[in-house]
Amino acid sequence: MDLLPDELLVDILGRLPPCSLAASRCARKDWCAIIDTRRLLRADLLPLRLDGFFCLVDAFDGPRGSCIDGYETVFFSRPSTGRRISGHLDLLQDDDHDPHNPWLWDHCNGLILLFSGVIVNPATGQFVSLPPYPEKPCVGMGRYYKHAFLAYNPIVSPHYEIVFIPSTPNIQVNNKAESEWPPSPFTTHVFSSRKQRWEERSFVREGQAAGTIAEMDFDYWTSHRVVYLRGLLYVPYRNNSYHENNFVER
Amino acid sequence: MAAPESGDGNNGAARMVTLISSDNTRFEVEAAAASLSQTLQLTILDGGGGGGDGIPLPNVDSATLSKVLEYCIKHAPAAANGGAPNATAVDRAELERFDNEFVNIDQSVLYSLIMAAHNLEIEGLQSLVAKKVADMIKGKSPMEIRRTLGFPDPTPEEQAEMNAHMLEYGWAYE
Repeated sequence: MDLLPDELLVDILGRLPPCSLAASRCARKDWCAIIDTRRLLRADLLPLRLDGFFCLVDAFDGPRGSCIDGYETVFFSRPSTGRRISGHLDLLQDDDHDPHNPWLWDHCNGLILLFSGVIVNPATGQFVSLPPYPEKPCVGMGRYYKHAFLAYNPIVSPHYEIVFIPSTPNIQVNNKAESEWPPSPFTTHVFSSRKQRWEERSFVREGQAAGTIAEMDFDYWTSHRVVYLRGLLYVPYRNNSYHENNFVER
Repeated sequence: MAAPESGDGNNGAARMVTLISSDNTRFEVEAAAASLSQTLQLTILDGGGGGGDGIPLPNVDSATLSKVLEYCIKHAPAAANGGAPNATAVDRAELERFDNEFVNIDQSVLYSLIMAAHNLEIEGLQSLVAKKVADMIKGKSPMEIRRTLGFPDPTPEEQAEMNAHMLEYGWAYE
């Protein structure tokens, strides 16, 4: 079979699904050249696979580890990939950061944002420090808690973005309790890995408001049900009647 | 080689042609079956291959040609109906069963068939054998692919190269 002319090899390889093409690409040097020059492999169609996950454990009474604010970061992986993927986030911190503070702020398709402003890809072992967070991430919302969300899909683009989204204030000290939520227009800061900087970006709400600020109730875990799908970031806000509403970023 | 009796509708008895393999074995076959080969079709349309002449096929040995003609004879009736749009489900299932059985063969034979189907331009057979090899590759790791297709084990340099490539999309199939 190693004598097959290129033309016939292309006919065979062209019938393979993306996973098998990716494997074939590694099987032989000449196959790799054919697959690459003829652009047979649609990397965007390769399935993402779960190799491991981090778990934030409530560790008030647990053993001391990478514990912050009562939560400890524990990494789980499959035996076959655990050797390759490191869950030791504290080793990835640079000296400027608290080595015991690898607090996961957000994650998206295998990329992790640490609260200290470090982006980590445990699968590749790469990490990078972001420029400092903007002082006022969400314009005109100084009293609100903010959460930074990652938007990343490696099969579409190697670039990622980080978006600051406010949660409603849990102590409604201002006079805005009857204001619509989410507000529109809404101006926030977005970090683009392509441009390597934070910049202001404005969004306009589509459709009705989810309710008023007074009707919203925020808890920390709400932020972990955010989904990035097909270029849209879905942020659920839970109001007092436990209806979920989506805040869509384009 | 005796071909099954079936009229081609025009001349009563089916027209026969003779094919000569690289090792000089003569095969007599219906023109309709041999015409599944785009390469042979032109010669046959020109009236070649009849009588004592025969069409020489210097690239195909007798064992391979015998196998190729087995395919052509089985598929000729369906091909004559323009891809057999009116074929019954039973007919189609029978052809499918034949095809599956047909490529259940030794790899050296499969390789010879791939080359013959290419040289003779037999579209259906080309697809069938390419699909067979693709099926042998599917779902396997790079090393399993090498072993399945009988490639020698990689040298240390090749192994290093394979490892480097696996870093790129390894997550997709491991």
